[in-house]
Amino acid sequence: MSDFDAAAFLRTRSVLILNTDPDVRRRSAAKAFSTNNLWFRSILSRAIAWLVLCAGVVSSFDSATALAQEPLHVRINQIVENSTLGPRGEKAGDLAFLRRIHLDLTGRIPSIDQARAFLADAAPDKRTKEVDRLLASPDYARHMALVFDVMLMERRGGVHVKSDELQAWLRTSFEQNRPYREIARDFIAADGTPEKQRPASAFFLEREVEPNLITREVGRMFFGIDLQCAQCHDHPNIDDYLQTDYYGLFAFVSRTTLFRPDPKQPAVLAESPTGAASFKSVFTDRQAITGPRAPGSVEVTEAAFSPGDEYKTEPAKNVRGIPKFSRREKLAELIGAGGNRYFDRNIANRLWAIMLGRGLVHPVDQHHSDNPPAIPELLDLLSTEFARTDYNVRSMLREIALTDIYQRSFQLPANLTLSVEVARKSIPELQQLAATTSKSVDEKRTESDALLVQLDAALAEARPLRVELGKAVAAGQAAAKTRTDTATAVAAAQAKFDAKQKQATAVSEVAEKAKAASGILTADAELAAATKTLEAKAAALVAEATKLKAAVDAAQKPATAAEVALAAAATAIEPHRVKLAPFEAKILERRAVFIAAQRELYSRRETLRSTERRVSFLEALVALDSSERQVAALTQALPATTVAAEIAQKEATAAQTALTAATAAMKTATETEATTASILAATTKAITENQAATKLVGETLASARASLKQLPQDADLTAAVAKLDSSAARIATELAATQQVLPAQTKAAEDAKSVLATATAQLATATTTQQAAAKKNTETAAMLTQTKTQLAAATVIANESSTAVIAQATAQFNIAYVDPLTPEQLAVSMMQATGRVEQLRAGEAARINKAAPLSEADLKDAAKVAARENEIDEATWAKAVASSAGFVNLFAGQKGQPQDAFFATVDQALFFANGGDVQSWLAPSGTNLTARALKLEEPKALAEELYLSLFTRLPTDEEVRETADYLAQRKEERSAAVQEIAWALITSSEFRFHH
Amino acid sequence: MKCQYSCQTGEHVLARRDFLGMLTGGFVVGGLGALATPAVSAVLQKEQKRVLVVYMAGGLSQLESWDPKPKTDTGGPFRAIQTATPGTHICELLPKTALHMDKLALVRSIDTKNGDHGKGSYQMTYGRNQMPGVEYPHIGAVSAKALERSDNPLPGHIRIPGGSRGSDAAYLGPKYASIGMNGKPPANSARAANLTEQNDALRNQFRQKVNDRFSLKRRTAETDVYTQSYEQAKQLMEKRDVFDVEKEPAAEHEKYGKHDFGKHCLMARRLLENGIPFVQISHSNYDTHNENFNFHLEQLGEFDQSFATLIGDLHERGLLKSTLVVVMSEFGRTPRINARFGRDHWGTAWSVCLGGAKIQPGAVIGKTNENGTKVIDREVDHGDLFHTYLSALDLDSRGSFDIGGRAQPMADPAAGPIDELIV
Repeated sequence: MSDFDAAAFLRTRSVLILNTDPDVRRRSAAKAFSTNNLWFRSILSRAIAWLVLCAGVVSSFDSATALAQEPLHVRINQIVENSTLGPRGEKAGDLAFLRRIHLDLTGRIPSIDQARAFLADAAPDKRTKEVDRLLASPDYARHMALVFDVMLMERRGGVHVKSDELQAWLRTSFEQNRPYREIARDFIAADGTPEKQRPASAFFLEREVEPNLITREVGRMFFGIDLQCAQCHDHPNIDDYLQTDYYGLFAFVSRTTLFRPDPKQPAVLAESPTGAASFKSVFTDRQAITGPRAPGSVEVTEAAFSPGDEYKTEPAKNVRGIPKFSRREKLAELIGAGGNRYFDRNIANRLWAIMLGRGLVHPVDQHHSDNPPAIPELLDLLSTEFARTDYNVRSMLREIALTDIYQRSFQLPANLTLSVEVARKSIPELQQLAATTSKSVDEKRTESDALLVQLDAALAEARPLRVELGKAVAAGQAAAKTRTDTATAVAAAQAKFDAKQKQATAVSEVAEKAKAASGILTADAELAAATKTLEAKAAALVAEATKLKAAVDAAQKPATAAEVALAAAATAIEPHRVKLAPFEAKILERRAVFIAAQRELYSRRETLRSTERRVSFLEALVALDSSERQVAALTQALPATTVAAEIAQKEATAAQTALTAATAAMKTATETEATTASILAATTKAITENQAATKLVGETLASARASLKQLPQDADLTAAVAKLDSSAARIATELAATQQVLPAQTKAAEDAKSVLATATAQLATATTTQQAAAKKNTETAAMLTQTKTQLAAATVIANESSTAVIAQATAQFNIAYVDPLTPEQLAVSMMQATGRVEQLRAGEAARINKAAPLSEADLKDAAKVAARENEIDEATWAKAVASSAGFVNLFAGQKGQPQDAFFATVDQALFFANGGDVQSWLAPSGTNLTARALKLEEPKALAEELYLSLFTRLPTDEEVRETADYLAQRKEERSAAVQEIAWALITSSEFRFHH
Repeated sequence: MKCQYSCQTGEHVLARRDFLGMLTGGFVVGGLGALATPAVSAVLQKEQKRVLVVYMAGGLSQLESWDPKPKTDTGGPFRAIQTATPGTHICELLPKTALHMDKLALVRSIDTKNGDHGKGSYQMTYGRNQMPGVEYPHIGAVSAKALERSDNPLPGHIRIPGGSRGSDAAYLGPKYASIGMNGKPPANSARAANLTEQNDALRNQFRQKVNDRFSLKRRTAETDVYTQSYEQAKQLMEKRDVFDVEKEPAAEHEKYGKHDFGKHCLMARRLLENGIPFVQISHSNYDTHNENFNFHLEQLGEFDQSFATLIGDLHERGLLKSTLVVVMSEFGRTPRINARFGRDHWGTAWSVCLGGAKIQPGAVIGKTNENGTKVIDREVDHGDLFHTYLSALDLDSRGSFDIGGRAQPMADPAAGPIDELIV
């Protein structure tokens, strides 16, 4: 993993922005990234820019001298190293690489023997060797033919040109490694005749030569831009796609039509020399006319021919018209020359997508500045290098296969973060850059809009002149038609006259001779009569001939007049042309200026979007990092917080218990105090009462005794005194007793008071403690909840950021793309893995060798044996392809639709689960996969056979164990069990996807 | 931190969608992955929505059906009758349907500016004018995609009758192309004779283990969708009977009528009941250049019985509130009656009948003039109708599908829904 050097990135970027010429930017970008010294980097790019500008040879500037010392794949590695961020997959293992390269270059997984051989090979350069071996094999051209057929035709075919024919033609092209620009040229130039690469005419013919469809498809397939929505107005969502671009392409193809007068004969293309591409926006009413223009270029120069002189072959019944100047051929020529920026970038991107499963620009027909390449510098490098090596497909695929980026694992690295400090620091700088760029985009847009107004003004100026020229040309064409018609009339009259004249001459000669004869045989009446008849006949014929001659002369007159008129009309055109010429030149000039401004605008916007993308990536990385830190911190804090919460909870419970006890104690104490106090009060009251009674009784006794002294005998009185004495004594006793308990009761009351005081104090303390504990408990619980909430939130953010980081890292190819196998890859790989291919081969070998056995002598001839092998190979693949038709029906996108969208349907799953094909391939037979596996007693060996055949890898111990368990579970039905395991593997994601 | 596709709380999955939506500035409807997780679809679609299109092939006369003009020079011999919606009258040829008009609505102001069968059929079922070199998906494909639920394994787009698979899904892909239904279960939906259910379960468990292990290394929306398709296949195998209309009791067949159209209506009910998102049935043939009145008398008699039964059943079974029903043709028929007592092709002022889902029951949209020769109020065309159908299904008809990174508008951006028809 490398840290993103944002500072260096910024410096490079700013250098790039200073230079306005995109070529310079592109090259200096590549150069700058390969040089370490920053100062030197900057100076060098400027120097290159200056040199380029001075020399004025931007397009022919040969970057080779500056850059090509190292192989392309090394330079790709450098760019990737310098300009991509984020977590990267490790280098894929040997077998993973083997599976991938076989799928990409041959369309099927390697056989088990190939896998074993590759594992055993100790050569350090075995990957390079394998790439070279596959590129040289017949499988490569066969597979590329299919890939390009599907890419360019999107499953169309068979109405006019059989897909097989087109694939055979493509295959030859890839075998010969023809430059791609030539292959592409043929697709446009082929007109359906055998001498002009008929199979390639499928591109036009299978689209029924519908001009709008062809326009869209040429744009998508060869220039990487889907202009469909720009047919009726500028594209509503994509700023770069203009209606005028649509009609620029449309102009190339709109004159071409399908020509098939005889349904028994193959259809061919005809073309008219006339027909203009004029258009009007349904949104803005902006209307214009454009000559044929390739994307990002000005109108092509068209040779003008005089009316009547425009056709190489005049159209007629059963004769297709071929103009002297064909716009379609002009487009073919332009493509065939290479060098159109859109064309170069489109094919470079598509080749990348063939190998990596996804384009640097994705989707591949959406090249525009709001959808910049994942690694802009890389697409620049690939497209210039592809052009520089004259569109050498094989070598480009080889270089891509050898890069680190191609050989990366599909597995996610354990750690997704990168040096976050750098990222964090880079964000504001990149944002600053984005802001600056955004401003420069706006400026350029204003400029470009102004230039468009100027262009429109020039177009408006030219319009009346163009109309006049059009009228003159139309008049010329009318004159040419009259000329043709009158000349035809003259020729017809002449033919009639000639025939008559011939008759007259012949009869006159005979009459002359008859006359001479009758001069000799004067008596012969019969002869004389005959001579007379002949003479009369001759005279009549001569008279008729004379009449016809007059008719010829009569016809000649308008013909001559028409000729003169045509000459006049043709001459009349010229002044209009001359008059229009400076205006056309002005249009061209302004168009060129406008296009240059547009290109710069797109380039700036691409930088802007690219920068924004990087910012969003860095932000996701930072978010991931901080959320992961937060998750970690919170996860770490969680146990302590939990413990604290538990302790606080316990303490709160204890405090509560204590409080409850204290409250109870308080209650008891209060009651005790009240009881003791009331007892004391009662006692005190009793004493007081006793004392009062004592006093009263004493006083009464005293007066009674006094009375008794007076009346000593009075019995009543004596009895009363005695009673009083006894009462006094009883009261005294009672008082004494009460007085005796008083201290104890007093003490008890005091004690109770004291206990109450203590209880009160304790209650206060317990209350305080409880309140504090409860508060703490609430706090810690809240803390715990908060921590948990934060953790959940942080986990969500971490997951989102992780998803975003993965998505963006994947889009940058930091991890190998996991994409579904194509229908054919799936079918043929299944046949390969199950041993079906070998069965087919055996069958074909037997059939061919039986039909034409090789003699003993032949078998010693290496060339003949090889030829036979080749023949068997071809027949085998023809069978295999035929078997994949069912897969195509189920797994391919609809005819004429992009074939890169993935869908998994119930139909497909049912086909694998219950369909006959896969079940029969899995049934043990001969030496096929399940038959071989069944012969292996050891579960480990058996698992190895299955995993290596189906997954191109060895099973893990766990997988061996699972296999053994499954077999053990189904001891009685070993064969069924083996088939079921093989079925489970072949229907798994690991088999279904390319990784 | 590994990518957690497996964290499946509803909020979380939605949050992720929002989050990704923010990043990509995006189109969200039905992109791959958006509906890949059951949790999402559970949240997004609490109730399965469905569509039934009854296609009156050849061009139903609006004057003999939804927009009668009795006692005018163009009206023909039939009367207009009252319906369950006070004030709304339809032709007397539809007495049973009239009793259900309180559940249905009419659009009487359609001008499609076309009188060609092929183009009209395209307009009405694709919601756009046919353009050379451009393919759009059929309303059935759009419905199948937009109403798809990962917990429903049944095919989404059914055409009755038929046998083969259509190529009418354009960029939405073959998954949503129509399947012509002939009463037989889908291909390969029966387990091989030599494989027991138990052993099938065993091998699928093994497959699942292999998948789980792979998903630890790398899990994508695509791998999820792929593994899920086997679960759906299993469910479909258990539901094979859904496609066999003969499983319906004889009384039901009696109720719907034993003719083809009756059988097709019954089959449609059976499929809709089982959660199939889109079913199209057809009734033929309304191309009445000759003897328009006799033909409509005969044809609509058959239609009225079966259609009214179907609407009644859908209503009673509570399905109508989630099922959009549309009775459409490629166009209407001329108000002018020709010399052969026929009516000819006419796209200038005609009607459709629709109802269910979010269509306002009993509504009548738009008006034609006294004798039906032109639209005088609220003119709409096929594009507007297409938007309306989608709106009635609670879809944002101005939204887009995200197909492999390409945004494809669900309906013609130049048209819009009849908002007042939507509840």
